[in-house]
Amino acid sequence: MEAGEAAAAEALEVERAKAGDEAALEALVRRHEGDTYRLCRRMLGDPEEAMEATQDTFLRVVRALPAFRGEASFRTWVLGIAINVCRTRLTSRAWRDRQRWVSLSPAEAERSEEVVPEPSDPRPDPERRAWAAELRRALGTALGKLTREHREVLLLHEMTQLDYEELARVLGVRVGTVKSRMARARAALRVALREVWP
Amino acid sequence: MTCEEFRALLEREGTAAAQAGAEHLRHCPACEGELARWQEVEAQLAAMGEEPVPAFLHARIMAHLRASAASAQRVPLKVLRPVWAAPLLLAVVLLALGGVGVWHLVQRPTAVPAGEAQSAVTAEAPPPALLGKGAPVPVMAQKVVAPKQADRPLEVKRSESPVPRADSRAQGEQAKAVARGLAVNQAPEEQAEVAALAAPAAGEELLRSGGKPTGGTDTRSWGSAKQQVASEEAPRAAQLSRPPAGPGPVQVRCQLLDGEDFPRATVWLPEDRVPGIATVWEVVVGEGGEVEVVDTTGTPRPEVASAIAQRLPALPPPGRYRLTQAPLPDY
Repeated sequence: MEAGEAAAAEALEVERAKAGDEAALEALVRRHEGDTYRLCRRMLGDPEEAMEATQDTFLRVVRALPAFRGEASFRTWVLGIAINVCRTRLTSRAWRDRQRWVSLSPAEAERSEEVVPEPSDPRPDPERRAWAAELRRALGTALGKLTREHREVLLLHEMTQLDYEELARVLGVRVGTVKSRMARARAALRVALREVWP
Repeated sequence: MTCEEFRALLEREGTAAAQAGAEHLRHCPACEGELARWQEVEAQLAAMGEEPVPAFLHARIMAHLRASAASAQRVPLKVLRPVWAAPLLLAVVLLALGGVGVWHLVQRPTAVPAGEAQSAVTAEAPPPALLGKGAPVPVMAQKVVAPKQADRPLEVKRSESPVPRADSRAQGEQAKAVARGLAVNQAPEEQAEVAALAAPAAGEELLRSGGKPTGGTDTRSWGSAKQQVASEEAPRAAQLSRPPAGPGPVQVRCQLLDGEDFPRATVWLPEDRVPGIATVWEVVVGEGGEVEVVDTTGTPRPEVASAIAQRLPALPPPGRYRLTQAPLPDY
């Protein structure tokens, strides 16, 4: 299916969901729950917390659905809501009281290593594969050391593959701000990866 | 392009900088290695977007949505169903009215100053002497024979109190009166009369309409009319006297009524210089501002006249008036 056709089909599903069609709503949830969960998982660093945040996100989606005008893609809209849910959780007192870091514990990094499939590599060089495994572990830790703003912009751009304009919509800032924030996030990530990237 | 410039470009553009720096990369193995590392990082970040999700994720989300929808529907069914809403609202209103009535009954015999403030007919405070124990005898006497609401003249309202109240409840009620600016416990008809007093242009129309806002070309609401009256009331309020502070004889609030029984001024006078209950003394205000007072026996009362002249910041227009004790507010 072409991208345009897929977008049109999704717009139809959104309209049906607005009209109360539960099957259409379920299809929308199924299509976007993965991205949403992964984003929450990396933003919050805890699988259970990510699960709750994903549930909250879709609850807000359902409640705000009548107001969705289709100016952005449905996916962008959902991810924007997910980011807001994560921000709320990260700044809430309960969250601070729990004193959790994002992927800082070794056990967490190990789990992260288990679930991340290796990217396809045309050159299965053992040394390179070892470095890649080390990089994955270090990335999990480094993301937790970034500020929330830097983590948001990096994950949305590199993980969910949103372009700068979509990022600007999701974050509610101008495209220029997104670009400068991305540059600072890369620099911060470079510093956080010093362990594996001397 | 230098290595520094290329690495800055890498941070700014990501691996897309490779194209712009292709020429530099051909001659710089270090920057080529840096680019390869960034490509690896981006690949790993992208791979995070392919991580498997928990198998029960979809089921949990849908269960959460259905549970939320079900709980949202129960609320209007149980609480907001129209069949129950009207009786519920009626019961709340009746309870509130009953509570206010009981409170008034309980307060009536003892708390006259509080009642004055609570009625909000005037926010003007009695002199400190009236706040002491046993002092309010004249006021109680007034209360016994207070004319019926339909007969008694109206009083001009004030929006500030010159003397702090001893009674904390009175203070609270007084504060409410101040916040409202105008009488709140009066019927709309009475408010309209007060409005006519304070601002004839605004009030006369309200009088004609029985205190209700009128339609037609005048688009002011009842609330905005009241606000306008309050603002136009300022010069009128200057004709209200303030009770003297400090110790001294008990002060009684009196009114100067014009020929149509409208109060043109309110003045606090010592209790030995006021007409008796339900008694009217004649007052004449001359063109030059001189004041004459004659009691019911035809005896001139210059001491009362001077008290009036001293205590009223501005005398009413020249003419004949009648001096009476101000009625107590209607409980």
